[in-house]
Amino acid sequence: MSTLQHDYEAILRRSLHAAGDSVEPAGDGLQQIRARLRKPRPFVVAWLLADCELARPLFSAVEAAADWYLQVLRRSGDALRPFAERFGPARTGAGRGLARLGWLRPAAAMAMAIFVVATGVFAALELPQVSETGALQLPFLHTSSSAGSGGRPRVNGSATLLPGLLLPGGSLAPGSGGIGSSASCSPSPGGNKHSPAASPSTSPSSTPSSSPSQSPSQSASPTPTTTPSSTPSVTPTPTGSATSDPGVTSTPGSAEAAGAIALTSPSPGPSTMAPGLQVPQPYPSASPTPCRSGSATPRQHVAAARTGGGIPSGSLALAGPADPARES
Amino acid sequence: MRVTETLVADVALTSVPADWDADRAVTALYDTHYRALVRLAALLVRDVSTAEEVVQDSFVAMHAGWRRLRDSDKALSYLRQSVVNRSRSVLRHRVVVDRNAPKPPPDMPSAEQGAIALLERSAVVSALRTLPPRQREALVLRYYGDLSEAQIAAAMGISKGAVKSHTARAMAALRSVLERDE
Repeated sequence: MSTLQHDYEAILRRSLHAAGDSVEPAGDGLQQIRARLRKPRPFVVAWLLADCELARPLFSAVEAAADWYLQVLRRSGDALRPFAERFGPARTGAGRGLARLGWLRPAAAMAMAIFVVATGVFAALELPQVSETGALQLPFLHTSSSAGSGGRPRVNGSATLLPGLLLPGGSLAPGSGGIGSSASCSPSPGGNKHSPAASPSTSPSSTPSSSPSQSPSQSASPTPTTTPSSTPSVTPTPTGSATSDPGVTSTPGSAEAAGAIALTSPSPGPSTMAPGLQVPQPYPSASPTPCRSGSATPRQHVAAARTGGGIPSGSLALAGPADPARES
Repeated sequence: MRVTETLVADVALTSVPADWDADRAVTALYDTHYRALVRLAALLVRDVSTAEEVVQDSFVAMHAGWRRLRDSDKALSYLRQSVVNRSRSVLRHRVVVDRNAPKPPPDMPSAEQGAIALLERSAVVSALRTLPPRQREALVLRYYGDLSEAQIAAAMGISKGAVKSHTARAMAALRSVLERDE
């Protein structure tokens, strides 16, 4: 049985080799494979090669030049292979999949170097430095403190000093150096200039004026002022007649205080009141006036007259003994 | 036993450096194994021109996947498997074409029959045509390619046990056919 099996195997092997050896493939197999590996020609090139006789030698020359260029590139690639292997990832195991990202390593190294240099420059320029005298210097105080008058740290957009570094007289502690420019920290001859509330010349707008006229800045404020007439009415409607009224004249002193008082003081006449004596009274007391004024409309008065009742409550105080004929 | 070109990786192929590019590897493998692969494909598809196309397609596919292979043994195994699979696809497509194509008159031989005539000179090859495709592939790879069971299993994409089974059944069927014809 095994002998017969071996006989069949030998016969089959012989027959297959005989049939196979009779097959002879064509000799241009490698050219056909290379032609398949090459990208298909563009339509224009194929059309030129098919129709134009002049394009064929030209295209063959271009192809030869391209082949030479590719060979040169290949040789240069072989020359640069050690460099690529040095900086590229390993081609074993999982590193083979990251071979396309090998150029990221030198790029990451360059980015890290740039970051370190930038950080060092920033630290050298912006961070607090210790001067030769041993004082702490803050670079962001250099520019603004030099423009200040008197060296006092300003609040509105000006430099601010650390509170522990100033003496009560405005000067710095001896031997402590200066914060910012030294000129701004020197004691001024005007005494304690570091209290802006006591200084009369804090700003141009706060300059006291003894003239009865009010500054435009003060008159422009939309404050509900009352008419300084001798017959004060209780109408809280803002009127613009107080702008030139001498009753709201600001007194020498704090401009802010004068302005605040002028807004709320219903002075009955030409005011010579000293500053600070005027008490704000948002709702001035209604005094009986003989005239029919106020916010009571004529329709209300007519209605009250027609019904025989009183004046509406909202205008009761306003009416008062306004109409002598009605009282009689 | 006559030793002809074999599909087993030989010494000449193992000398292919791993750092060769795809073009150079294709050239080396073509010089060494193209003819044997074409003959193997011709035994499977029973057509020389079709066998050449199958092998050339396999080389093109190997060129595209050379970065993944980078080994001559792997490349040859890939080529064998690709040839077997593409030959199987050709036979499958041919069955569909033959089923739908109009049949020629009986007195007019087709071109395919003319191409196959060269391969059907022996009764063994004629009996081989009657076998199922998997059994035929196993016999061709075993007795023409001189491959081991593991290599046949890798080329066909089946297990070694399946290779043994296909080979045994194919030999039994072939013997019965030959004994019946005798």
